[in-house]
Amino acid sequence: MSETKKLLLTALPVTPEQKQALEALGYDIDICPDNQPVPADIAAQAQVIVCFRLFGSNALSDFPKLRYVQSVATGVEALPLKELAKTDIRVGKGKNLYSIPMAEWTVCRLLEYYKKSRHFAALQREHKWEKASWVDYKSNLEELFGKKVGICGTGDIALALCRLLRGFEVSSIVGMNSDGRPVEGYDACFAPHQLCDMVKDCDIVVSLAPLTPQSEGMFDEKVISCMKQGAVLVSLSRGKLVNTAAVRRGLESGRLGALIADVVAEEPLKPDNPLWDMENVYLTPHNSFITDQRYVRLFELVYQNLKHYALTGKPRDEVDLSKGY
Amino acid sequence: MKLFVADNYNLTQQELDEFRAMGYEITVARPDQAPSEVCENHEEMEVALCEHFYLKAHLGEMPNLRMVQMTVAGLDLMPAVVFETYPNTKFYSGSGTYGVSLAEWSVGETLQILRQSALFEGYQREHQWKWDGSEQTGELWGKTVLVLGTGDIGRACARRYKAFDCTVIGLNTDGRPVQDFDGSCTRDDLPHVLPLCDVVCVAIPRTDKTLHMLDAGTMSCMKQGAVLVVNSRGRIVDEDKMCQMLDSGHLRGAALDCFDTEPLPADSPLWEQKNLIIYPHCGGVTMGLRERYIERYKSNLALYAQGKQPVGLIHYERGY
Repeated sequence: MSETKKLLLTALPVTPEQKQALEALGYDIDICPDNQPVPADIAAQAQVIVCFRLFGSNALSDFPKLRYVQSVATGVEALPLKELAKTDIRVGKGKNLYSIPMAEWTVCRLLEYYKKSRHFAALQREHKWEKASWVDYKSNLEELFGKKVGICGTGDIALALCRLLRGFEVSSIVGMNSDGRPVEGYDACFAPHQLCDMVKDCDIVVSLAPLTPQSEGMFDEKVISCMKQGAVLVSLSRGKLVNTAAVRRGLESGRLGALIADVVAEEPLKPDNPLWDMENVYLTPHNSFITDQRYVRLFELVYQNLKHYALTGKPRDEVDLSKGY
Repeated sequence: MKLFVADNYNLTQQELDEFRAMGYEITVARPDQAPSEVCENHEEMEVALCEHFYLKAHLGEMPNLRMVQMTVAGLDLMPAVVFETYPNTKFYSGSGTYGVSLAEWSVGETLQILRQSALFEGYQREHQWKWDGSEQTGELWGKTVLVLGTGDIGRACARRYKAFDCTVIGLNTDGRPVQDFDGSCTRDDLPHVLPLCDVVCVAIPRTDKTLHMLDAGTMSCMKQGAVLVVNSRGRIVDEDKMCQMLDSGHLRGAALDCFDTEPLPADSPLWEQKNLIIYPHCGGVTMGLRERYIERYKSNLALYAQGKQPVGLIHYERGY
């Protein structure tokens, strides 16, 4: 370890003990809010920054000594990636930070849909004991067992989701990544230009790819028309991957059985948006990653990355700035 | 061989034809029709696909039955008069068909309680995009789970909880180790096992040995903030104590598919109990379950036709 580095910490509340642990790695710490301009004297000195969207209200040029930015998010599109690519500043991402909560969110919401939880919650509010019946097919519950799942994305969240889904004995899991390379945990992987082939016989399709110029609007009219009749679309990584109007039409026509979304194209979703009231739309407010373990894991990630950087001069989970993730 | 079917499952012609191909001559009744309403030779029936309550309702109409294939798994509701009327008939249960669907329901309800799905469903109904309460969302990952019952359903639950990296302990009559569980215990161990468990999943048959297993005193040993899920039978959990513990926050939440009294009366206070999810005893009723019933019908009818022993023979004296 070399000399003490000036660390600007934002987007991560720390206890006095946690602050001491970071200081022991050789960092001299300033703490500021993530979404406000940083005082000039602090910005001028900062060599390492931990943040989420700090550069929404600060210019990269305000930080002349900056060497390393550690994001607290898995998707880093809120950072000035193009500008950073022209410098030799290194960037770290939130790897394995949200894989467990987001994978659990996905299985939870799929089971809510398949077990008709909304229907039975309404019956409970009315004190009505009405069983599902074999005669009325629509009232029967469904199973995750035997379903075919397609996951767009093969990163850490997708891999955690694969593990959970295997426990429920889904019939197969196919994936999509930038070049269709095979990844352990998937039965097959496809490249983006093969998306229609990939989704056509999937019962569940999960949108879990990073937001890039190539992936924006990936789930459009054409892809949705290729999906299996009654399939479930899960929108989990970034809302802008999904064309909302096309999804609404898919739900109205019955092509899509349900939309399960934690993210939408325009957040927050406006109160008068028709998605709120659609029968087969399950919405959460971009909080799938938040659990009581959030800050425990976040601190652990930041600590491990800052330790790695202090020892090696490199981030542990580095962003490839040419790709944007 | 004359086969009588009281058709609860809308059997298709193709399914019935498969039974015929095994050598069965079939009479089909709707569940609300007596055997004598649909045929004159009901006394000649040798095999029946029907439930015990159907036999009780039409006692004596089919005196020569040698085999009855039911779909129920729990024997506790089976009227003794049926066994007394048919002392030489072999009864087969649907045990082994419920694991997948009830385990999915159980783990799904566990997740919904931990993840506060009801809170966020409320936000959606109110068109509110807000995070309030999100940081109280719990995870299943790495938690400790106690499953009461290590039969087919308990094991299917254990396998799914294990996918979440849980430590899963199974409770059975003698504490014998069972595949898919990390460890096992007996009813006597509950006072020192319960305080360690984040989730308690009741998947045990109701017998004289399991009745009121989670009585008020035992339940008070449960861990602060634990989750309770019941997929098998009522009268194993003390419902009044459960409500007190839900009110006090000792229990984070509970999901019940079965109750002391079914159907649950419209004026039962349970309907309005906070943090309680109620299913009308159909958490396992999936289309997949129907397929597994039909598979069981087919395989057991085939075994019987070949003079072999079908699976799922009921031992009335054991209670399952």
